[in-house]
Amino acid sequence: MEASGREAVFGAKEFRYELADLNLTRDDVVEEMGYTCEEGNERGYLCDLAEEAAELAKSNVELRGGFVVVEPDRIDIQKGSIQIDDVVFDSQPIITARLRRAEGLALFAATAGDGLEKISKELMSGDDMLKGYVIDAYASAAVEAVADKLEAELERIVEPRGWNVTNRYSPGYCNWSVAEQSKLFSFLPEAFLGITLTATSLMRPIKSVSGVIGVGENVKRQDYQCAVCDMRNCYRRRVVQSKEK
Amino acid sequence: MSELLERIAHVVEKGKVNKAAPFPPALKGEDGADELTKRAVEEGIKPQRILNEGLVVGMMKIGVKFKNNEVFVPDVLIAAKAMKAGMKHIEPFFLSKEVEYKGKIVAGTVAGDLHDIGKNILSMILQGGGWEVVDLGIDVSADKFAEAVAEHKPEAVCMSALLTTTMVNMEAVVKKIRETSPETKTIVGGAPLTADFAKKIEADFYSPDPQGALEYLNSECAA
Repeated sequence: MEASGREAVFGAKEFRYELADLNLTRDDVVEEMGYTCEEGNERGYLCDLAEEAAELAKSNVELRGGFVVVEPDRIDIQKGSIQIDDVVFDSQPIITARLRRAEGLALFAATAGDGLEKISKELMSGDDMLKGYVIDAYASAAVEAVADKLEAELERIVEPRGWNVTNRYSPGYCNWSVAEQSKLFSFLPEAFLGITLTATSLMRPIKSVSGVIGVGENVKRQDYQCAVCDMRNCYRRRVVQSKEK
Repeated sequence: MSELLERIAHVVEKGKVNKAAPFPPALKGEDGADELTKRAVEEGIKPQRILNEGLVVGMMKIGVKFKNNEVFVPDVLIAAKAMKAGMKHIEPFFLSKEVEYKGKIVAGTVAGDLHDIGKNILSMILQGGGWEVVDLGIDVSADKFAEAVAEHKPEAVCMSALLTTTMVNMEAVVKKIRETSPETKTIVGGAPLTADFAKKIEADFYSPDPQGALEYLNSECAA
């Protein structure tokens, strides 16, 4: 805690969650696949499979998340790039435009572990690709829900200062190269949350996410700006489109 | 086309595997691809016709819908399962040469990349389109692709990548295939790819979706 009694903003923090903490519904998972669980839906079987995935998840996920909030005097945000200490991120203008008023940056990671990934792969290489795919989608939704929880934790910690948070932005999205994930992890503790990076910057477990969130008095959350981004197959675009239908 | 073959195409498109399958609800209790294909064989319809005018038509329809974003991955997976249920009655005729594939494809996710869902969907759409697919799996090196080409002599190699850091490894595969088997076409795809990238690495074809790859194969490579 800081001298004022407030929780310290800067530095590293880790959290563990139970599945029940995530409020993840079967609708969230089915939406991830492009459909809904509305009454009379002819794809109701997907909703049933999402419920089966939720049951499996109870004993096969390890939900962990955390972040390191970097102090303002270590950060220099320019159009298209972010410098922290002597490391320069080529974060692209879409992202830096939304972070440039930030007073601190939270570098975060979250994971759902590799339990569901293993089950999904086994099913997909066998005779039940659909169930395997639904489990994969469940794990993706779970790790995004962990990242949502992290955003809420961060918001809680910075709120006493009168600070807000931005959306989260990840390497691999908004034209920010996934190769920069290794730079991001250089600011996180060794083997943070048990996540490792392959030579091609792929996180293991695969169901993990990482990225940056801006904090400060003059930043805010915005709708994801699909119109300014040319990534046609982006997860966020699919979710937005699915909700618009 | 016979009514039975039309029915086979319909149940494949809708993903009705067999009579016992609970989905889709609209076809509950009705025969699926399993029963209908068996009946077509028993009625003496030529297996090649059952494949081309029934099973393949159903998969083509779902592939086109997927390309147009009218359906999503689960519908393709369930259609592929129905196709597979029908194919088990056709497979014996491949051995007797009464049925022939359009050709052979080697498919894989390139080195460094462990994502396989996109590649699996591609494989299913190509199989559903009448092509034999040799699936090399994930994290496949250029040497492994070349070895598979030497062994299986495919009409084309299909490569997938989901990351900007791994799509660059496609260049080595294209180069290797050109050196060792210049007649084999190279097809690339995956979320981060563009037509410009495919052109830069001198791949023969780029498709943003499996159906595009199938249409290219049917027009450029089919026997």
